[in-house]
Amino acid sequence: MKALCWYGKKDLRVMDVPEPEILGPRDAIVKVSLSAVCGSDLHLYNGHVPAMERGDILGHEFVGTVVEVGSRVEGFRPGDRVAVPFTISCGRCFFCERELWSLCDNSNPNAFAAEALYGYSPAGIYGYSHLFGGYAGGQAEYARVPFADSGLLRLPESVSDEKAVLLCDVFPTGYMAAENCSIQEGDTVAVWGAGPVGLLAMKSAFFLGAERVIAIDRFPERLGLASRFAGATTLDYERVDVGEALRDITGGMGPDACIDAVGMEAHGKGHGRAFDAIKQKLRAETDRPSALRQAILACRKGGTVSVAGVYGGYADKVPVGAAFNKGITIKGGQTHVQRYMHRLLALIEEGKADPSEVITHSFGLDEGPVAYEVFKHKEDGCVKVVLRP
Amino acid sequence: MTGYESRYRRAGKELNVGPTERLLSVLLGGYMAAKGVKRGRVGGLATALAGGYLMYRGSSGHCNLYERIGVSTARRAVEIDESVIINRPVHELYSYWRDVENLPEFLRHIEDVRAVDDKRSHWVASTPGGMKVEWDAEITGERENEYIAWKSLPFSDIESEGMVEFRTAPGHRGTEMRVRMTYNLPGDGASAPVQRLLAAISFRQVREELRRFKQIMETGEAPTTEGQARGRAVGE
Ligand SMILES: NC(=O)c1ccc[n+]([C@@H]2O[C@H](COP(=O)([O-])OP(=O)(O)OC[C@H]3O[C@@H](n4cnc5c(N)ncnc54)[C@H](O)[C@@H]3O)[C@@H](O)[C@H]2O)c1
Ligand SMILES: [Zn+2]
Ligand SMILES: [Zn+2]
Repeated sequence: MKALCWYGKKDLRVMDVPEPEILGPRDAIVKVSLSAVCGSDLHLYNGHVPAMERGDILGHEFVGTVVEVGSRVEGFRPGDRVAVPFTISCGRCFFCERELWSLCDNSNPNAFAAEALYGYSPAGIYGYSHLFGGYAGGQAEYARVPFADSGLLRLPESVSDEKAVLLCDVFPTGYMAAENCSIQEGDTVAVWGAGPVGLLAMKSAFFLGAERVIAIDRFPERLGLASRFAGATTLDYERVDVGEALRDITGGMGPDACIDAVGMEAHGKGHGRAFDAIKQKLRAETDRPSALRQAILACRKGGTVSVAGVYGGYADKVPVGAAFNKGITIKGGQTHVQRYMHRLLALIEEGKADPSEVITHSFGLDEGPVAYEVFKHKEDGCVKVVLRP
Repeated sequence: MTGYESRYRRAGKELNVGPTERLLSVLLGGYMAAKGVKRGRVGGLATALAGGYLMYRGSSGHCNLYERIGVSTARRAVEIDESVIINRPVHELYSYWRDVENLPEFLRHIEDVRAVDDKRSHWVASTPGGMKVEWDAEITGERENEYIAWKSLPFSDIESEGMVEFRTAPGHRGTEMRVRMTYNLPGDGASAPVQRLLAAISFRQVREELRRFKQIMETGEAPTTEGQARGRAVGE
């Protein structure tokens, strides 16, 4: 089969590889009909995530049809149309039972490596480095899904692949980012990053009762989408001082909640930027946290900073004093996709949300390397890319 | 000293790396981890892991190598004390463990265990490099759903002793298990395989084995990616 493989920083190749096989009794094999490229994939593409190996198959957002199931898979059969949550979760451990699916105790075969870095290991993730298990991803014609009974979402006829592929990660991630804000009546939520995750966080913040949502980015077409798709007020951080603008908009109080939907490769300004760039090059700092810094400084006293953007290691000059002395709550983590996907599927079915509006580009799997370049540089108004095997 | 402190010591994690060296360890480790990952599959992973180890050493202030050098260059005994919470009822875990022939399923350094009678069993361990160490053991004490203790019989290649305890964990978390094991050289005439076996067994390895036990008991399988599709043959 064809698969999009990582061969190094900015070196992706479409390879002919063997088809996946059932390896465990709870595995299923899915024939992929659509996969998507995520901001998280860019961190791999740009070489910021260690523990990638040449030949790793990328992709953690994919939908398709079940073609084979292991001997102990219950509830799914060949022929079922499904979406696959990006978090691999056993469904039986302490964490899965408490709906903390992305923290599953049993799905990372390389848990020892993650423990060395994080103390305890999070769940395995498709196509997301050997620190998260080294699972082959779904930017391929077929993919293997472990723990299929808790790793598949059955799709009704009425929901298209384009809508469903956003249930694998982005819509749940935006929703969890907003839910983590514990939104109260009258709240203003500021969102750094108007990529797919940020846009769906904005939309979800309104679903959860926000009075006002402010989108912060620098790309006009993304800010345009933030206002059209999500109904957000927009700020171009290259044109305004974000902290001052937010203070002004909120009557001198600051936003009640701030969402970081940017992550470790934030684009920065001024001396902070040079400092982070040099340290990241020297590998003395793995993460460039300029959006997170701004979010903590801008947040109102007693407010919440919700971190959806991915961080991998260590970051410097995070204003922990501001976080402490303003009594801020910080929440984040990889998304507990299985906790949200059913209710978000229902929203889509009822016609209350169409997350596929963020998809701007579609490529064949063969054109995967080009698709990553276009998405990386946000060329041609690119917001979200899907790949068709 | 509290019980926890003494266990922590037994696991051998005292500070034995100075502050400057710790910082260098973290930095060099980070660099190696990053570099290692760029290289080929086996060599690269080894470098990455070595880097990860340096980072661990730097951030924890403990170096296993120093510990060994400080104590003695040849190991004469291994003591393991590990605990794990498993989300299954006590009786299920107890009865799986009591059937000693199940143990190689997750005790990776043990190749085979054969029950000779209700109390006695024959154990075969394989060392790195594929040599074998064999011994007979017997259950020296047990109480259903509480504990099982065992000990190697006299004149074995290796002296081994162990105990596993089970108790219901609070808050509906299943069962808390604690495993204690020691391996000792009998006298001073240890054979090469026995020395290799001792050198290879560590609390880290036993931790991995218990993790595997937990995975099998909770999910019915141990997760794996061995044999999955990838962009090239292993070892390309
Ligand atoms: N928590 C999770 O489980 C999870 C899941 C999916 C994605 N993510 C992460 O969410 C983040 C966003 O993903 P995406 O797919 O939307 O990516 P994306 O690259 O399309 O969007 C990121 C956006 O952030 C903007 N940005 C960069 N620097 C900024 C700054 N300093 N201030 C404001 N905006 C800035 C960029 O212009 C871009 O529009 C990534 O870090 C991704 O890894 C997390
Ligand atoms: Zn994603
Ligand atoms: Zn689990």
